[in-house]
Amino acid sequence: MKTTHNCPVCGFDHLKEAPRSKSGGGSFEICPACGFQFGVSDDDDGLSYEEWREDWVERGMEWTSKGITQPRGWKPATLLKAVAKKKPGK
Amino acid sequence: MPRVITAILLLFTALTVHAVELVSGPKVTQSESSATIAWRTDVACGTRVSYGTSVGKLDQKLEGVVTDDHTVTLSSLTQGTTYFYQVGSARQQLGAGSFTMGSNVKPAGALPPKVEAPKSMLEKLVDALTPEAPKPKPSPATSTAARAPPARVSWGYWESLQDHYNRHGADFQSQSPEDYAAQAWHFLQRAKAGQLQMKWDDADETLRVYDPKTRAFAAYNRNGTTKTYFRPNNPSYWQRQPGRLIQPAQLPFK
Repeated sequence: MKTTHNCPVCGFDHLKEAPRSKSGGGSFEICPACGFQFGVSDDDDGLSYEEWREDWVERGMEWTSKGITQPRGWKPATLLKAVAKKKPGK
Repeated sequence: MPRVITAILLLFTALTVHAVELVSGPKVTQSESSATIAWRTDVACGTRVSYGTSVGKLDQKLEGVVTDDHTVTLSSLTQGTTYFYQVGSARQQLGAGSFTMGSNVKPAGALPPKVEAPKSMLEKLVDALTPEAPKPKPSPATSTAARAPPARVSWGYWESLQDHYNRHGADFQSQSPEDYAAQAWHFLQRAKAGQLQMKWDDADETLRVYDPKTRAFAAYNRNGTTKTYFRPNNPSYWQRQPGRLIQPAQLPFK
């Protein structure tokens, strides 16, 4: 059974890797839903999860990936609510 | 008689109507709160940029003079925001792309490809009479993709390659996702040869590679497949990466 991980930005629940390893390193995975790249958008571009989320929501919460197919029944607003309930990220 | 007039009109239209073609660009240059989009056309024509923060909402328009060397500056832009744009004239769209303020510019093509303007009768006739020039074969000495394994083999999470290419391909002037993956593979070969700095992180079994001369950075999985390849903007990026410095002999793969 494959383990999946949640995106701390948009709540997408099928990331391949944990966004951060125990050592603190980013996974370098690009969330196919919101487009945040862990270890790059934050560590290099200096953007916080909140900043990216706000921008993504403003742009209409569109599926960003051009190579990964949007799952059937993907409900960004519902997933986003789950993230909002959690403690704010970095 | 009416047929003759119609034929003359058709010939006149064919000789005068010319579909403008893009010669170079569009190229985006950013400053703190503005971005300049530049492109060249084969003949002088109007200048127009439509832009916005989503593909379906290019609600801002800027126009310029009639020229073959077009430049438009978008001002009052917000750092971290992705802008989508189309360039062309009032009559014809010539190119499209997107960029994120404060990060690297994505190559044109992030938006759906433009619809080619229909060719005139004269152009169709010329096309039919002109033999197609033979396409040059890629030189093994210059084509990185020719020597590297296929991207399906060298890239770790295959389905994500397009997104990594869209975001970082411009850092290395990559011509395609396949080319981008090949460049990342070649970067690893240089690391294996001891030419680049390497860090191994036991926590997630990731190899990080850095070239201080070019500031190129890549991360690889335990099996040697690529996770990402890009050029960080932040000068302390490599120093902040976790892991211990290793030598080629300590790599977990050959």
